[in-house]
Amino acid sequence: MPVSLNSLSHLPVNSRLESSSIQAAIKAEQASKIQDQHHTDSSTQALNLKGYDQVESMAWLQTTEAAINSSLTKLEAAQEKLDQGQKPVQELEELTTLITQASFQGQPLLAQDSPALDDITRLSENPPYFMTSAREAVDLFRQIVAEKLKTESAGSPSGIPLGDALAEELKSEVTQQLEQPDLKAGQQLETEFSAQGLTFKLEGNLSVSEAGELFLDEESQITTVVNGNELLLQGPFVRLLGPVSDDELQLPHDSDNRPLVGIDLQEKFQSLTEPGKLLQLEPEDLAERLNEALTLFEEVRTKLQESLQNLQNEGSGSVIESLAQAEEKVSLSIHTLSEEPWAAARTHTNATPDLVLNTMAG
Amino acid sequence: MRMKQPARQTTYLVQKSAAFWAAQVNHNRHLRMALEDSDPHELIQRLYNNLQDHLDHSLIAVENGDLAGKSKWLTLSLLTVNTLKVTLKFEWHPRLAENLAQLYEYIARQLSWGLIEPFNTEMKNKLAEQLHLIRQILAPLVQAWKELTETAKEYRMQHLNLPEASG
Repeated sequence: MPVSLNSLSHLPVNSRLESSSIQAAIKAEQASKIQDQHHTDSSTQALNLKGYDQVESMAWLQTTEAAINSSLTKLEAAQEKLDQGQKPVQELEELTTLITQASFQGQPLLAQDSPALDDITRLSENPPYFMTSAREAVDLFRQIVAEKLKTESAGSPSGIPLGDALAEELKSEVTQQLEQPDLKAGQQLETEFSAQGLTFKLEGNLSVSEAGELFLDEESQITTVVNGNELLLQGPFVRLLGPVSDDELQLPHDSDNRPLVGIDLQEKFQSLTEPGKLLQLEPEDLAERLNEALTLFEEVRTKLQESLQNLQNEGSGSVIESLAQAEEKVSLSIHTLSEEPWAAARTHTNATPDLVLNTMAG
Repeated sequence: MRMKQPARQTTYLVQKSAAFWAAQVNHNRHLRMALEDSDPHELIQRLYNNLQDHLDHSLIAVENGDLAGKSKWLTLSLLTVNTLKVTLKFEWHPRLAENLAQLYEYIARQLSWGLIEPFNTEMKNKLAEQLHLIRQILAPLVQAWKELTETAKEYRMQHLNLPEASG
């Protein structure tokens, strides 16, 4: 039956009329306990933390570590979704919640007037580092995903993550080529341009549609080479808006006298090295930045684990991995305790009324 | 064990009740005196009882979908298990202390996970299951401490040849 605060609060004072000898025995035990506390080299002393400061610090480190571990799992799940061309919206929402909650949990400890601040600062160099780094990592990841989602939605339904940049450069290059004065229907256009650090080669035949629109025909293609793999994007993907003159192929222009060029990138790139395989191109530094975000999280996790280890009492190095192991520890502990029940309290001689009271206060 | 399901509370009510509780506990002279009069066995037993009590409340909050209650009681549970951990001494029986330290750390990790994970339906069920398991793991230890405390008290009476305390 759990201790009820109400029942405790109604206990009559001195309800337990211990004899003076027992009181003396208890006092002797408490004195021994105090002496132990002064002479022990336990982590409490090594860190010069009061018991409850150590408890708070430990709780903060544990929850932050749990948040980082969970964030990493969610980041990996999000990355997997991205690789499959899906949007990791839920993972991102959960990541944000996680970091916010972990930050909130740490707040009391990070307050300037926290007595534990100096000790923890000494422990981990700079406690806000954890949350700052974690936030940076999540922000970075959010930017990456936002960019990826933006290019996907702005591009074609099938999606080319590089879509925006590629379409922009293609439009610019085609506009420049089409402004040549001696342009004729059936003429072959061949040019090279760059987007996001990749070089693209455009080849195509100029045709006029029944509606009188000029376009690069279905035989036209864009090719590029990524990591030694030749990739191909087949047309039609360029058209001019508005009718053109059959004789002179005079291009339609907008009010600023710019040729009206429409870009319609509808296909993913095909791998020429592995026929039939469709590939998406990503901005050059995307993988690198994603990796940076994950590395940041790993660094935060390592730092947290080090700090947590410093706060642990000696001998608690290995970690219980399963329920069965936990139950075994309980059985072993009960067995050992029952061998010398009168001495069992020596397992927790640092327990003080203040610390116990601290676990009751809401 | 069938637990009484309290009425659903708003965040405001939970905070108000927590503040009232804190004031009651912090200013409860009798409680402080009772703790100061406790022998070392009893202090540890109280820590175990508090942990079990907080876990029970955490479970009720989780099952009721009470986010504020869940945070409050899991935080208190974590505080209590960490208190058990920092009060450990390794000098008397290093192997026993190591076992207990590992057990506390295991429980603390489960509770930390419960504190930070989003409180959606899937996590709610997982957390309720975890809390049931933690209570199940702890139950024999809580019972053992109750018996240890009584045995130690009897032992003192016999070996110090003193009359049983009255009252």
